[in-house]
Amino acid sequence: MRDPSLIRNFCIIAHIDHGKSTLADRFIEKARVVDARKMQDQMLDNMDIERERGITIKSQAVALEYQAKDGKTYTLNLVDTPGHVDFSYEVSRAISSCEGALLLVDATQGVEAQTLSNMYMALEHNLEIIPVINKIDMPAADPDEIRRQIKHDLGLDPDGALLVSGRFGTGVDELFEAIVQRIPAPRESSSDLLQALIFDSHYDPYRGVIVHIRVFGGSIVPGQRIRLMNNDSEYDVEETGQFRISLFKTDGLPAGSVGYFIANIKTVSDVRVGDTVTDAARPCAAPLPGFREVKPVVFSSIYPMDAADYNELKIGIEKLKLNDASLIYEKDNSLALGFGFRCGFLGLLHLEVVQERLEREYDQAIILTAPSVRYKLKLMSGETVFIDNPADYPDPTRIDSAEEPYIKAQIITPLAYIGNLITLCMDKRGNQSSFTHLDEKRVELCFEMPLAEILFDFYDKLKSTSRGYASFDYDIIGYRPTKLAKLDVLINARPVDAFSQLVYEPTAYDRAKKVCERLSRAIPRHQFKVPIQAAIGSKVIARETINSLRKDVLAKCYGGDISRKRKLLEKQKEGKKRMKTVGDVELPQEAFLAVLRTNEDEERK
Amino acid sequence: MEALADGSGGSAEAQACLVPRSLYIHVPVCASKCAYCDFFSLPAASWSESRMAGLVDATISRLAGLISRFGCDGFDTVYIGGGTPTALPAALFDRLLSGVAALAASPGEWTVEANPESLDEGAIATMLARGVSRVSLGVQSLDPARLAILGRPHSAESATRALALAAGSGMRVSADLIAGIPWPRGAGGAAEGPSLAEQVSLLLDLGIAHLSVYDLVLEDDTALARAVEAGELEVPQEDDLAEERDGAEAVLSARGFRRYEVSNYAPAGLECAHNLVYWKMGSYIGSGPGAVSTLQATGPSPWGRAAWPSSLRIEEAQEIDGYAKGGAVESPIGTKESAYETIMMSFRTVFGLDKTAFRRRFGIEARSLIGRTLEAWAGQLIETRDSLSLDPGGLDLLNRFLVDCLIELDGTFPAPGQS
Repeated sequence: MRDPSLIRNFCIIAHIDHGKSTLADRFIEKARVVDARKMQDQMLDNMDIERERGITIKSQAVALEYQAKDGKTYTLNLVDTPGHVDFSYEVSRAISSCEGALLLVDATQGVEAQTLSNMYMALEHNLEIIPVINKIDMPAADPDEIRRQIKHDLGLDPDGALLVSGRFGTGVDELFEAIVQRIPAPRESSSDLLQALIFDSHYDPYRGVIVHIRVFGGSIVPGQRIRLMNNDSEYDVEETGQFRISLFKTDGLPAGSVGYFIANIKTVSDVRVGDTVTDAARPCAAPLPGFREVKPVVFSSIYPMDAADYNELKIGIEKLKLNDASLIYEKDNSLALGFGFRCGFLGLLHLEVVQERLEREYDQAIILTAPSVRYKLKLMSGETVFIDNPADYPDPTRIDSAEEPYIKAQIITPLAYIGNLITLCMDKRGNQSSFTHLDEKRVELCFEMPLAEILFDFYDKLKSTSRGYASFDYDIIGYRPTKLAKLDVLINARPVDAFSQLVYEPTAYDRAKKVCERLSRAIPRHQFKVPIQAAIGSKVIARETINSLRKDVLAKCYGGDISRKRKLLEKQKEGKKRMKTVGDVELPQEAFLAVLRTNEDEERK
Repeated sequence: MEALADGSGGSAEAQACLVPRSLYIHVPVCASKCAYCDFFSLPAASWSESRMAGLVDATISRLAGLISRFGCDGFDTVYIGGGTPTALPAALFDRLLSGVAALAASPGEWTVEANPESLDEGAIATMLARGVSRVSLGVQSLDPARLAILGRPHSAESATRALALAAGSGMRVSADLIAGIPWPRGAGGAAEGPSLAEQVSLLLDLGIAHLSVYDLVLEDDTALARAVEAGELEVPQEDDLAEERDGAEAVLSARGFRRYEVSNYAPAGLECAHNLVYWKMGSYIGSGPGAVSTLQATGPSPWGRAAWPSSLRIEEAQEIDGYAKGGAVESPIGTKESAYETIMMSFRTVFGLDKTAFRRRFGIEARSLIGRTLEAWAGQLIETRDSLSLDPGGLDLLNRFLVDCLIELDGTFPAPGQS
């Protein structure tokens, strides 16, 4: 086991797209963690969805062996982190396992919203911060301006900033030296009792839960009996090791190190991210401080496409939860869709990521209901209730008043786009609260607006309005009065609870119209006419009709080629099997998506 | 149940299957490739005469092989399709027809497909001399603009000229039309050019005895599909398609043409006997690149381990120069697939599913397999003592009906070994 003075634990924090994953690739390459021929882009982003979208969702750790100028070999534990606001919880967990952080700033973009908020998070945990100016190879790079921003906006010493190009590897050797010299070695523990923080985990079908830990005190070795402090469950450690893209077995993990252990844990719920691992025979006195409670702000229900798959979905969600501690869920049921789960998400991107991971990694065919925020209702009885599920919405005559969560939206943008961005925010019921010139090119706009308004297409519109230049971050600032109505959708005269949504009453009519239009496009024709209605209470406020099907026939048959015809029908059969039958109407998954993605994004087509 | 023999002996196979009395010949040559076609064919201009001769000879010798393997003893129907058989040079066209005539003497119905640009007096004379009784002419449209969109190598005038020629020869004439042809975006579409109904009327006046109206199917990787994807052309909507077809059908029924199959119309008694064999799931053999044979077993399967009853499907290699070397793919069709194919094909016609034949072949009533679907479709179903068929509205929704049958069959069909 390595002497803690030869260990450095650090993370890279930055705004989205400032080049973290590319820089991590150079580190992995220089430290020869993998063969050159196995090297690919975004080494640490191993989920398909990360590679496709070019973003990091999960924090990933990797141990780099580095021979420094002083002749000694150090283990540098790097934790790559996500940049999107929805995943700042991942960043906070990564930060808790490190002593230092590289604060990456794009030399062409400058300091942005997540640069600041991630830096504050690092400072709260007393991390040593090394400012790094990245993408210096770009023609538009302006390192002097970035140095000025580092001093002015971040309050850090600009002379300590390093210049690198993650793309070409320029400056990476100097950066390795700076990590060894400037980031402190893990602090000596005052006790030799095992005390390790679980910062992540994932499930392996053969070996059970693989627990990702940072050891703060004592050490963990194979054969040791350990205890998980949240529920006192005990296991025998089978293997310990480091992350080197694949798992790399070691003879133990000493205080100060980052790695994993395997203990044949098959009861997934025993492992909780933020929990402390200790020795069963010689336990430490108290657990480490865990992570801050995550508060979900977006809620939606997940149902299996085929009600018979509920148990499979349950297992899938449990395993996903192991690897995504911020996902919160409880059992739910719907008249139309059967049993499912009511889930809380950190944002809309988080919701999309969970949906895609369930479909791809856990092979689940699922339906999501329209996302909602959590409303606060004061009842006539004087009681106050919080609801996020339209199914729980009380009879309107029982409601005295309603409030909805508001956010303070902070948008940093080049001057050219402020007009359009202000219009966008006003359309979303925003009130401008401040306007600050950051420098001669950039301004910071602050708006107070309902969280519900950013649930749908706000982020996409913000990006298209500003050609991708505006950055966006938000904080919840509390509840404000609102007018609420529950919009129900009836398909062929039968209410489908999965389509119900809570809406801002003055815009209910517009929303109803759009939902009906979209459903009428997404639901295929049937042998009979299918009316689609949106109603508040018993009052129908919008309506569309899907005409009956007139033709569905393959009107050609060449030279007795029967197999080809049969295959076409087999394909059509698979399509039909993916439909959800509600009453006598078949609803494809797209119908549920149509309600999920409301608003203007469709009109562009 | 185990197979009787290993299937290598021609006579064992011949004894165990319904002897084919229908024959199809595929001629993969065309004047040029049409914009919508993904069928196996090559433009005639790119062929040397000797290459084409080689293929004609290989097709005939393959036919002789199939006839002897399956013990064929005369044919009721012969169909020479393509491609465009009349695109062959005159001498080769005659060589093909005389080769077929030598192996299949005086069939009850002998159809040859032709295209307007290559149906001339010479071709007609050859057909008459060899015993052809029926010409199927690929007209596709009588609207010059639509012919151009389809990339057809002929004009509307040459189509009417060829029709008149064929009708005057004494052979029965069938024509093909295509419905639902995409149209330049925003150009007013259906309003321009003769309507489908007007085209049908013209064809009837020219003396056709049979008409096929196919809905255009956009096939991947065709010029037409690319033009639609690029937004140059626009595909007609379902309601427009239905109206176009309704208009054409009104004309046809007023002239005594009955819709006897999803896309085929004829006066009673003048149906295409060859195609009826496909729809009734009879045995037939096919020779020429891309042709298909289907043999129906009448007892324990002579084809590998597939349970009885079953079928054998032979798909001829889609090769020109290598065709003589073989390379056909033979796949036994299991009992369940065979039952499904029987349902799929027989509901295409107004004659429908023959209940007795089905029970004899599969040992189970059709209703026991697809009873729930028949119930749900009762409003569009016609049942007689011997048959089950769909009414005209049901025929238009045939795919939905068949998908329902397929899903139900997954649950009702006895697992292998149980039956």
